[in-house]
Amino acid sequence: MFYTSAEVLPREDKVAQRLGEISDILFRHSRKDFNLRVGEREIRYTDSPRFVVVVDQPRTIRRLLLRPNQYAAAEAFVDRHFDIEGDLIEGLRTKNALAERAATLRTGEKLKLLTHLFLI
Amino acid sequence: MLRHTKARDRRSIAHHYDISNDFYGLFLDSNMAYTCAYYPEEDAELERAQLAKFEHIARKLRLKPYQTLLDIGCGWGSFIVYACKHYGVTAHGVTLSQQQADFANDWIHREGLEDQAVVEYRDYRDLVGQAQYDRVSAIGIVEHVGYRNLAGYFSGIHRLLKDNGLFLNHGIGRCREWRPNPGSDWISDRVFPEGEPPSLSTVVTQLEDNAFEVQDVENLRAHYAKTCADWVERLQRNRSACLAHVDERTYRTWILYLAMSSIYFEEGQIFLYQVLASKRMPRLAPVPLTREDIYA
Repeated sequence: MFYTSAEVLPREDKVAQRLGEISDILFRHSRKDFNLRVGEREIRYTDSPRFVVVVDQPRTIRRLLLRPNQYAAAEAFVDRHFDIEGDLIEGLRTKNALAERAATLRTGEKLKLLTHLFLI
Repeated sequence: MLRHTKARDRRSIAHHYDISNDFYGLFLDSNMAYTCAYYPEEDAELERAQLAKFEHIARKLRLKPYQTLLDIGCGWGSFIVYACKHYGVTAHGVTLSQQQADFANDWIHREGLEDQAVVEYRDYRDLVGQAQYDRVSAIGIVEHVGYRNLAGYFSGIHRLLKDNGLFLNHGIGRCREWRPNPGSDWISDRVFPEGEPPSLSTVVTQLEDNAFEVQDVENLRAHYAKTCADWVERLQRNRSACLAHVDERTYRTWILYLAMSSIYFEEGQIFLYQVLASKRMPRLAPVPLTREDIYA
């Protein structure tokens, strides 16, 4: 089952909603066959995910997205700030989707992303 | 360009390979082969693919009984044992990891091959003599040699090889235009200190400059992507056993490094080149007219 936009849990949680919107913008052109979990919050695209990206807290997302750097990302993985449950290699390929998407972001989307990133 | 002095290389190799033989045993195949395998079929098991790799190399080198084989960077001795058992050669291996050398000599002893093979803890630069070996294999070593030592590495092999000898260089390569980046810095800080995979053109140029002639080049990157994916799967399956030998951070470093390597091989950012070369001589090289013997 694919959803065009993420289903977030808990539904009333403001931060969860913002995380969902960040994810929707970043993965607009990606196949939505995965879910995300940030602390206790869930961003769900499918009922049968190939992998789940697990992030310890919203701050990690902000840090990695605002200053994208492979070194920092690798250290964050080793230190368990983020993890992939399920198919690890498929999960890590998400980096390509993100890199390609970064080049096609429009100004409005960038502003929206920044606002959400500062408020999570 | 990195310095790659003997002392630094000893430390770098020990950093990577002296973690724990048991840890490597939990994700490598039973032959402890820590390089690209060769998958005869899409869904071949890693064990079979590693043996197929040794067979592929042995056939490319046209190994025959009583020939002398030098295996530079022989690791845990898997190719030496294979070549001695199946091709009856006399083999000499060198490695810069004490743990690997001890493991290899134990294995040679267990197989009863003491008369045929020996592995030494020694720098390849300390090998003396001239025209000592019929065949030289360097499986996964050229990426540790370093750019500044490449000329010495190839000229050293040229000196050690007999006139009608064959040399197979199997190693990771990068693109010509590659430049250091944060991802590669992480690998050299955490996983492979001072690794410098050369481009294929660098290897070929060095071979030519050192009076070799290139016979064959084969790119096995699709095989290496599969090999790394198999290692990741085995590491994940043996997670709890791994944690008995290394800490969680080391485990996660390895799993990330192998998974990313698989992706990079698949995307063509890194390659695995096997280059077969012979000494340039005023006569035909010691390879047959066609390559049918490799696939027979």
